[in-house]
Amino acid sequence: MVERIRLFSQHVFFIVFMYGGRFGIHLGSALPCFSCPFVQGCAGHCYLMALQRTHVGFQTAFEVFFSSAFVHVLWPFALFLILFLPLSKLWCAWLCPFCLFQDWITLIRKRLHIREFSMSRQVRNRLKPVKYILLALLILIPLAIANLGLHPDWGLPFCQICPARPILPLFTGNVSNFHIDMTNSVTIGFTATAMILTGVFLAGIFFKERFFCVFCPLLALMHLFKKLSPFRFEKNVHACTGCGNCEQMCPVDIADVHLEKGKNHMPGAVDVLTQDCLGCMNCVESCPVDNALVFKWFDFKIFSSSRQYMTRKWSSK
Amino acid sequence: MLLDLWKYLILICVPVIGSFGPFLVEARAADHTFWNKDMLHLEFAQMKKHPNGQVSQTFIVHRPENQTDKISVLFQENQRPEVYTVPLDQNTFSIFADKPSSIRLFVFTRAGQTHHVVHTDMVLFGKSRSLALRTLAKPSEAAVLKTLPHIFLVGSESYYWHQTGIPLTFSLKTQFHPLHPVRFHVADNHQIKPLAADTLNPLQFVYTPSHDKQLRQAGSTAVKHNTVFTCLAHDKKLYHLAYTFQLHRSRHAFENYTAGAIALAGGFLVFAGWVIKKRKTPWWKE
Repeated sequence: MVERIRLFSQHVFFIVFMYGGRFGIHLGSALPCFSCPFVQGCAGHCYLMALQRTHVGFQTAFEVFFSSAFVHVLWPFALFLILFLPLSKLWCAWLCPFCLFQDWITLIRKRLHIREFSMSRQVRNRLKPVKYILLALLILIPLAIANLGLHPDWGLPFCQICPARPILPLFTGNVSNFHIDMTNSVTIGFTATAMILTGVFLAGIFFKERFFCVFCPLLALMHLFKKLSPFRFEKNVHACTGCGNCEQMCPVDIADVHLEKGKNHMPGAVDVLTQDCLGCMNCVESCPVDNALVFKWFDFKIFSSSRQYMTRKWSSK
Repeated sequence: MLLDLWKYLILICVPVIGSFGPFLVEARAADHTFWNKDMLHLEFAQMKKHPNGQVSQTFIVHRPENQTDKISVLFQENQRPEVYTVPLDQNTFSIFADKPSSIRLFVFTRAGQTHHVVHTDMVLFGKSRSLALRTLAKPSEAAVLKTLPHIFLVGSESYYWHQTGIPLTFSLKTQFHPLHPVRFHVADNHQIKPLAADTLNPLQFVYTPSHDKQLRQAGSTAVKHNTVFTCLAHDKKLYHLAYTFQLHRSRHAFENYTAGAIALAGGFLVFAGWVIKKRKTPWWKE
């Protein structure tokens, strides 16, 4: 049931974000999901672009930080927080168009009966910092353009290599982002990297569910502010039987929910909204213990694990 | 006796020279040797974002020789009828914008019987709560704009990011019919080139700016400015008209789709090969 609602939501928001602009919907330039501004007629822009654009050129000269013009840097950020806080990471698994694209590729793989490749916990842990490094770079590089004289073609560094930029416009019939720009050495470097990465991610997404999300800097940014959100994902440590279903069903192989024992093995509810969690609720659906895993909005339970629900779901399959 | 000879000489020569006068003016109008020597022209100088969010564009004015009138600088904003004036500080002036503003700028003066008019369009992306200072032009000054002959860029209101390699069409707006066939020239990197007239409309001229190596290296926001100019003669007056515009490098001219496809396929195959090689678990579900 929850999976179906999520799929419905993903498809509805895919249409809204990708084509909404053509029908007069404009949701601003601070969306906490990959609604790509390079899609003509999209309803809104991913916040990462605003985060880079507000820093491009003279706008981020250090003097701006101490002037009234800084409000124009802060405003998109405030808008991002206003949109992000009520839904937290539900933006990823329930609304993000690029997430849905990855799910389609996964569906094709499953139809072909090809198993996904598994990543060891060690590899997973090594990859975790990559999204934070990308986030830091996409903020620092525009600052370096404004203040240290870095070549302006380094502007929008993440957008230039983001695989969503060539892939999402395909759904509007636009193939113009599959090229290498021979204008100068910087553009050649960026566009060649973008094409190679797009190829790598297409292969990665095919062989591993939600492969891109492991590297997504927007997920890293959202994780930094998750505590401000009323959205909670808690585990009742005392109730957990340690079956490991949650890790098995997680599209990004999060082991922390399964392994979380609480501080000093004290019983009670522990926050398990980890940095890679996308809020898909697959783990809650597959948990066989009543109320062991709970998604909450303030103190209201949105969805909690239930033996009855799990049995009904898997018996129907 | 000698004095009488001079008298006759003057009496004969003045009408002869006088009758040739318009032709001399026309001959002057048809060539482009006046460029840079005695022509009013504009140079885009620094564009600056100020700490209060306003954006300013500074211009340098190159004065014509033998200038007799003061130089007037008038502009209109976002296609509204109000006309504003800007004071000239020696040879420079700046226009400020507190919001995204499409500016239509005219600079003009007179040198004897020669009228100089420079026109340009630009967009300033100001974003400020403190309003940019504006001085309304006197009605008599503002009225001049209605009759001022000038060159304009066709479609410049709807598009401001002019690029090398993309044709631009220029035309002329005057209240009179010039005495001779109009010719346009462009000053591009200190080279003067004639513009080809549109086959359908002889008063429209098409110019395709060539790609510029320096612009390609300088970055996507870098600009150079070119000037299209002409000289008209009418009623024993000369009109030196110019249109200055900014050019960016081409966005799409150097895109190589074959190389892009090769890089994409290469990335896909190398990573897929790596996954297949490293895989330890069974491939297929039973």
